[in-house]
Amino acid sequence: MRDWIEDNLLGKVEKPLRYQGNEMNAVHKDWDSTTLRMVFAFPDVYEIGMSHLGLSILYHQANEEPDCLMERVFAPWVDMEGMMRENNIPLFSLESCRPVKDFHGMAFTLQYEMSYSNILNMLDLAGIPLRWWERSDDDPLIFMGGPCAYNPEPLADFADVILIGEGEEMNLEFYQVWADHLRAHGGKMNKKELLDEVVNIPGVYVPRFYDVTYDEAGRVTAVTPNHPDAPRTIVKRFLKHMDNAFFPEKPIVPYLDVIHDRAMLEVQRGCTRGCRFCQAGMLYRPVREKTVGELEEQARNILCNTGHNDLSLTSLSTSDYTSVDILLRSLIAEMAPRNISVSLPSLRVDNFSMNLANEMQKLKKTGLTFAPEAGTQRLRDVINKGVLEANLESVARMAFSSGWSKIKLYFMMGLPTETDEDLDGIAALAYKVIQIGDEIRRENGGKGPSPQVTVSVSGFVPKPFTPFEFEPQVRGEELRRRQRYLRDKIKHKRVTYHYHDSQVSYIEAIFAKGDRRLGQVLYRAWEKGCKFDGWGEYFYMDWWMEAFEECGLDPEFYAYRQIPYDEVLPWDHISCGVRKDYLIREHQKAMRAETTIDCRTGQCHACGACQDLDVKLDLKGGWLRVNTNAVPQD
Amino acid sequence: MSHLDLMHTWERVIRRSQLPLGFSQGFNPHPKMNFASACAVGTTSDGEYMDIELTRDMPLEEVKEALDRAMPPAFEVTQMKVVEGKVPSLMSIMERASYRLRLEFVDDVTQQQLDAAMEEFFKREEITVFRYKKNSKDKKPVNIRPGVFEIRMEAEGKYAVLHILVQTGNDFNVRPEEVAYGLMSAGMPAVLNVVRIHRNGLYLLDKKGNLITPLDVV
Ligand code: SF4
Repeated sequence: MRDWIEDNLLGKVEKPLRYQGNEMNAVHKDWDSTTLRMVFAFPDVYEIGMSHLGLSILYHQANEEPDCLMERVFAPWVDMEGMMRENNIPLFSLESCRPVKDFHGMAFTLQYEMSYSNILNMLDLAGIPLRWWERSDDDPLIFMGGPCAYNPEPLADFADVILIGEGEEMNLEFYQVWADHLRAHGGKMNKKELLDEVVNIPGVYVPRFYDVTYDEAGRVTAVTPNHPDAPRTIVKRFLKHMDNAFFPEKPIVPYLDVIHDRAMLEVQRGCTRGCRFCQAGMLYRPVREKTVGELEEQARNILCNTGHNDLSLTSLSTSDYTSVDILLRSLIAEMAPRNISVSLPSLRVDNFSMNLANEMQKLKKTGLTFAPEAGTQRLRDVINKGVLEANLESVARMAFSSGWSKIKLYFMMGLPTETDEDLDGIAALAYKVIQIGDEIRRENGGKGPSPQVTVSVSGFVPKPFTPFEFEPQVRGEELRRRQRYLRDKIKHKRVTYHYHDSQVSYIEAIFAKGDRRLGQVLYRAWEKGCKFDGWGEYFYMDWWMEAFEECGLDPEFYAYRQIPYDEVLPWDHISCGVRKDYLIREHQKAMRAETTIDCRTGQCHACGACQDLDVKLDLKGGWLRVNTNAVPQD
Repeated sequence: MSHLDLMHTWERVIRRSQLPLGFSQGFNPHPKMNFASACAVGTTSDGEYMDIELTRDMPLEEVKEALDRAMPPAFEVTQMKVVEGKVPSLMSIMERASYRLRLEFVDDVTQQQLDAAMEEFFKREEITVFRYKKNSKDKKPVNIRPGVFEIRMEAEGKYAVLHILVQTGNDFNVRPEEVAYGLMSAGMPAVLNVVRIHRNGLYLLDKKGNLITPLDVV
């Protein structure tokens, strides 16, 4: 099959390397000598999937098991899909170029809601019936995980199994039960029996084992198990410590330039700053850091095995890592002589030491990015973003004096309680930064490029498991008015204004907080041709609206409704550790514009994560010192 | 693979091999390596040349061993030689490239049809194809005839295998698929698809006009 595809299709598609595999460090295991054969399916193109650290971790972890094999498949781009359909080529894996249908299992990662239509399309391309009740024992088992799996309800019709939590902790257990099942059944699956077995693994969610009831208004009234072993609440699995956790030291090196074309090293997991819009901050509690020694060792091995010339220290907020100074200095000292740069993907205004930025700058010039998220102190307090205007000003001052000339500011629009005054604040902040830049340039005798600011604004999407899960999204017409309002406010020729499309974020909001009935909508939308919804050019709002209409569901019900605290949420039977009553308390504080201090200072707010999951913050550098200037008080 | 992807791949191979690669000075140091000629995306090749500069002398066998260990599955180093002192860039000295192409026709073709087109091709003084201008949608006519030196063709039903020798280098370059288009303008039946392009080698000319490889020179 590979030769035929190379000869007849790849010559005609954009970026043929997307479909060829054979990269350095890709794992090619012997098909016949493994018991459980799975394919990791990333519902987006190769370059995006290969930039994703989670894929790398789970792929290499599975392949280290002697009886497991895991290959990869990505969503073929539209040109390739067209040719595959024309020539009856089913979706095939990268490593062995086998039809995906030949595997025992297909693992989808749910990174963003707008990739759901691609999941359906990939199943169809693979020749696998889309809904679980249409599939036979000979079809692969479809399992899913990742951040969006915490509200997997819109995918309940399509998934056999959803894994809730951190894959490194639970997947091997799941694979072993599955492999034993295969051995006991001569290499075949009896899915009914298999599900009866895996449902007993903590963190495993089998959607069909639950019944959902609704009231006449369409609100969920109860989610009840209909299987004797199905737990009432599925609690996430997670690593108690990151030390000695599996981390791939021989990751795949793509031939094709991918989005993050660098070695990635995860320094910690979790973030407890408690920004109220941030889902990841709630899902991955508590904070667990790796030791400096382990990180140095891993960095050395990864660079030696990949040959990358850039090492990126990743996590939700790397500059919060308690030993970031020590780690960066030691890595830079070791890597600089080999012309390897070290970078942090995101910098925070309030804690980032300019000296470190300068150290990194020595090796590589990149623009500086800050995310104040909101334009006024009041709104920043509502969202609990601990950034003061004074912080931003002093950082901007330091950045310009150290020779940076371009600063990018990220904001969200449509946050709860936002008014036009907050939008004025965005414009004012941008002007302030330019003004600081101009002053410093003048002081330096007008040398160097003129300062430039980019204001990048995205629409706010309320997410489950955040204090804003109860909040409606701002209506589309109103959002567009606010966009125009802000655009008219920003008239400086060195301030660029970018706005991300609001229609996509409407669908995103619906699916983020959706229930099971959205499965039909998704199916209809896919039938109409929806795919690659995250890629502007392939997003067709009309198709989505028609799909809702035809299924008799009201999209506004999902996106634009203020939800009372006592309403049953479609995801209430899933737990990420953080309790609903904590989210309610946080929501109430938000409405009063009261802030909550980071619990890494030693002040626990009893969010539930440490109490219910029996775990503690794991900070290698001790409690955070409270700097009253930088961190708002509780 | 694009030229940029190829360069990055090689930089990583050399970094993995732990060889003492030389870097240019300056703010954005570049590894000191050079390629003979860029291959178009989708073209496979048996004959590529590159030079790399190391910061100290090393025995060739050691360099080869280190590279072999670091090489991704689809790459192979076949031969190496030491170059001392300053040398002209590989790109600037290359003169000929040979390719093998597989063509798919709309209908079955015969050897006679192919031979006739070839004869016609060499009889003409001008064979014009259209080339996109850089960063533009406009096309400009190019006469490729003086840059084509050899054509051999074998018919196989709806397919034909084409062996060609063309000019390459900084002054003038003939792309393999252009020869197929040129043959069509000389009466060859319509090609549906250029199925596969493979570069056999890159060459220089010696004083007598024979093909030699860069390794024969140093
Ligand atoms: S339980 Fe307390 S210490 Fe643990 S994550 Fe929640 S607020 Fe932080």
